[in-house]
Amino acid sequence: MSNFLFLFRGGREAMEKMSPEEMQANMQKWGAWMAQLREKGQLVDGLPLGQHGKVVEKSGEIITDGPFAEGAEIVGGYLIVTAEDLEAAAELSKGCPIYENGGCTEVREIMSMNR
Amino acid sequence: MSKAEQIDQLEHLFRHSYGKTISVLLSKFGAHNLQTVEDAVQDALFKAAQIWSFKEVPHNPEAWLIRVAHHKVIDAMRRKQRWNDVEYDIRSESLDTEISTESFEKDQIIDQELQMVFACCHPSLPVESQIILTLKLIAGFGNKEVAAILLKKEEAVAKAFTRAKKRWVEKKIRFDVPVEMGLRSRLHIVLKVIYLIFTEGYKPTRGDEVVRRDVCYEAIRLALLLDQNKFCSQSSVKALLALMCFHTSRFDARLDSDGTLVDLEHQDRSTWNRELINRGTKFLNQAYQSTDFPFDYLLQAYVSYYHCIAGHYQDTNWRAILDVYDLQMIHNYSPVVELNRVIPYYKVYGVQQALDLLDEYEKNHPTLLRSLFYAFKGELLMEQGLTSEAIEAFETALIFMNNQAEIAHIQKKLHLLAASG
Repeated sequence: MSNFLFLFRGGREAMEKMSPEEMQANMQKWGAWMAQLREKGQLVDGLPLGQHGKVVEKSGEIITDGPFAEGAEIVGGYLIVTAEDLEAAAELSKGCPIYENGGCTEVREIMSMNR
Repeated sequence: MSKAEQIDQLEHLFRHSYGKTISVLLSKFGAHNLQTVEDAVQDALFKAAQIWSFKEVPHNPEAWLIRVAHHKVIDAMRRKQRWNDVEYDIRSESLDTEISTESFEKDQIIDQELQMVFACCHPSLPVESQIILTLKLIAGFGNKEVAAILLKKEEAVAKAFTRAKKRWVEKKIRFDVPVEMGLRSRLHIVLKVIYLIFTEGYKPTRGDEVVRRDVCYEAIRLALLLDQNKFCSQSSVKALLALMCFHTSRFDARLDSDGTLVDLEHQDRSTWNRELINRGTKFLNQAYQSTDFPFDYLLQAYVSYYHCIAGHYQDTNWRAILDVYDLQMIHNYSPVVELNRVIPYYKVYGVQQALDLLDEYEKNHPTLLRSLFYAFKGELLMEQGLTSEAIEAFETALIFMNNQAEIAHIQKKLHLLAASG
């Protein structure tokens, strides 16, 4: 078993256009999806990220508002899950509600010090 | 309680909190900040949706939303003030001083929401604006949902909403007028808007039954809001509540699985919602006992009540219903009442008498309510066994109809007649 990082990109635009009821429904789908990961003991941690940020370059000589990526590429949150391997982790991400909003999930293995 | 269960218990939390938060913030910042307030509330909901997807929903989510939206309004005003010196002195509002949750006491929120209802239903606004403002700002429906409710295009709703808000600002309508001021003259307008919203929701149309049911419950919620206020809790409010409870109890039974209208005679009465009928009956009794007899909604509620308490269609007390119609003819006359009276009249006096009454109606109102007129006529002629005349009447009714469920209902009858003839 290894830990994997899910990076959620995009989907914000679609969500901003939602009515309150749709927004809540969307939240409930996320909640349900995460709850089943938790029940299976596969959810380690996760948090949403704010929209604004800073990009620091050259030892702080250049600090700009970022990230610069297109809306679709901005990371809106992350999750850490445990899974057998990368394929199994990718399989887990399939139920994520982000796809309904036109977003995507990047799945990366978190490197282990012990192996 | 698991997180999933906790979230399931938040039914309509966002929609209702939207209206409450808008009301609380507008009464504080005024109509000229409407756009800023709307954006702030939308942002707050968005933030909540993000955080609560990952973490526990706070103990009092409504207070959380109001607090966050409040901060966002002040933030936005600060940013604006940097560019131009706006009249509102934002410096006195420190972001660091947490506004305590006590400042959002439940009673106070109810009062502010009520003030907002009265502002949305302001007499200087056209009816359509009143309905759209109420649906958007108090019920918290989105443009797409309002479009589905009013059978309009989404862009048309957006435009009408913008127009209505502009008018609000132009007319300098205030949101902080105590509800008891001018209540007498304005409560009936508010009730009318609530009832119009209700009938829009109750209208049988295909596809969006979930939203429509929400609209009916929303109308009931608004009336309950009025009923909680000692100045507004008048017999007309109780009568309207009774009427809406009775109608809503039949919500599921009024359409079949294909979305075709089912008339009272053929509805499965076991699916009628008993709890709503009981609540309606309580409101009806309260309204009846009051000294100022509210003819308008009370009499309609009584008709609905007699239908609700009949175990079978055959058990319907048509005599009592006809009596109520006779009262309506005196106290609350409208062509709709006159035409609908034909049905209990038929049940009490028979087909021929009812057909004569229909002729009389046509003489009085040769151009009004044509679809309903011909539908009734077809029905009565069918009873008399005059098949070809009945077919002709139903076909004429179709010409005047535009509601799909009603059209399907008449077509079904035509189909039966064709098969029998």
